[in-house]
Amino acid sequence: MTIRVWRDRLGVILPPVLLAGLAITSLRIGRYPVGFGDIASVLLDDGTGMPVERQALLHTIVVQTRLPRIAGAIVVGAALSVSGAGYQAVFRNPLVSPGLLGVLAGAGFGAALGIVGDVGATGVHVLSFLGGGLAVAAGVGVARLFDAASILMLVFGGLVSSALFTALLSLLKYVADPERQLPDIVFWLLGSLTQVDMSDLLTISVPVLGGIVLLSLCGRMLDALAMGDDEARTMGVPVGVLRYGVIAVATVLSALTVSIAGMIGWIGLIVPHVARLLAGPRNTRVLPLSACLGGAFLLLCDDLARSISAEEIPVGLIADVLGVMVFVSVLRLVRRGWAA
Amino acid sequence: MGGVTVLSMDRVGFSRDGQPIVQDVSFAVGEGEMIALLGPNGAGKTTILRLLLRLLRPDKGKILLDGRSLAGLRRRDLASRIAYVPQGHAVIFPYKVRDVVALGRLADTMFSPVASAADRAAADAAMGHLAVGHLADRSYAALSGGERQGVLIARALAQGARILVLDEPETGLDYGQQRRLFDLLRHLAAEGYAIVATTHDPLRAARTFARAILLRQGRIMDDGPAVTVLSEQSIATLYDFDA
Repeated sequence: MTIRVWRDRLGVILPPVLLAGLAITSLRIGRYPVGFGDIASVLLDDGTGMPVERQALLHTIVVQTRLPRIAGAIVVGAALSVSGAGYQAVFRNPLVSPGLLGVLAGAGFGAALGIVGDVGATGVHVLSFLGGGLAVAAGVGVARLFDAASILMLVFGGLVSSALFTALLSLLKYVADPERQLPDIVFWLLGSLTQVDMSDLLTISVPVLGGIVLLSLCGRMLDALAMGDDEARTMGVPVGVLRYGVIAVATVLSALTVSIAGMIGWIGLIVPHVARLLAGPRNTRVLPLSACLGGAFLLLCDDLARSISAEEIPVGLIADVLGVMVFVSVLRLVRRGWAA
Repeated sequence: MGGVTVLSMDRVGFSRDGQPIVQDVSFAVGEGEMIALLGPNGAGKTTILRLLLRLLRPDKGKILLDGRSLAGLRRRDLASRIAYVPQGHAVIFPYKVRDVVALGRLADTMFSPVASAADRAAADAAMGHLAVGHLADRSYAALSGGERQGVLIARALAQGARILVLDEPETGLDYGQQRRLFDLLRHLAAEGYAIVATTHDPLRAARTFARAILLRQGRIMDDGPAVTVLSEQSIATLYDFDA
């Protein structure tokens, strides 16, 4: 009994501590060498015995350049992973990812529309977010034409919506100016955190954190949903409200990430598996742990993206490659996470 | 016959796409009663279960729980009175038996991140009562069909419900498992639980259940003590063969 209690407590405390450690370590990574002492002095605002110019330089590097980027990686990774865990719970399927209902295709289309329409960076963010929401609304709308909350119809609606918005995206690529706009679209679709600044971060952090908390609070109801809709209903769960509510929150989370960081796939699929492997299937555990692990994973990918070569590599590529490697290496274990 | 009436259907009708599935069905369930619903496939057994659980709403007639209309009850009040025991199904994620049973307490603590101590105690008590306590730390998905049924009934008890609605509980169980399951249901009925179950096995029903309701083409063909209602002749009529 006590061993289990302690293991449970450790499971709650350890992941955020490790994530914080990784974040602080990541502040050191980059072209200009910065030590732990320097980081401490900047973060604690205690520059005693340091020349003023160096203080200013350190402040610029650590606070203005590296910190938003690191925080961005954590927020985006966490949002995508929680979103994936939410989708998997609602669809009772461990192979579902946040893209299922078309959010990624729609957000990609929205961003490309912004780039082709020359609406500026903020406009691209907004259009991308709206595109993601619109695509999911279209997918759910198609599903509702036939049968209210059936999982199969939702999957079908998502397929239709994804196909439509992927086609529209291709159309935009076709008409985009090949010198100026097409490369922007392609680069944006690869996924990158280079554009993330403090104001983006502040805009998305609040809804992302709120969404993570909200989904985590629904954890036990999602556990009941895993037993089947009828059973969940007879146990008092408002199944329709829960399903659409979780889809809405998870969609907002992933659309927000795409709007600031482009297309970063996979991790929403993989991270919840690893979380389930570590903490068991209960969603009250899986959702917050997915947030921590997803944040850490994307941060690690971004550290690699900006350090393995002089020319930065889009983090979306690294996340895909590393994600595949992680997934394949834990697949045998992960399968234990889906009851045979 | 059982004690105080807890649940009743009064001239209930239900149709789907204009096709009547259940017509003019009336019966009352008393405390401690054990009722089998029998009939060929498509006779409306499952529809009646779903109506009792409020998974479907009747087009005609009324369903009363403790004398109050089922339609107006809050979800959690309903959950604390009637529990559904489905067939021992597969669940995709490997929940522990302990967690599955504790979900029975969900209605009271919908948004709490963990089951409270009282809820865990209720779950433990239910598992102990049904002698499935030794399975508590096993994965539900890895259990046999009979063990799963036991766990799902424990969850229903943890839910605090005194009315259990079971959907063909004997499906997929071997002879010994079926015997133990029905012995258990009889014990629960003796303790005052009202039990309504659909079943495909008239011989088993005649031996195990106190009362049988025979359904044919959406209507009640007969309703009474199982041993008298389930004569060779009535079974032949019910399932359409020559006796």
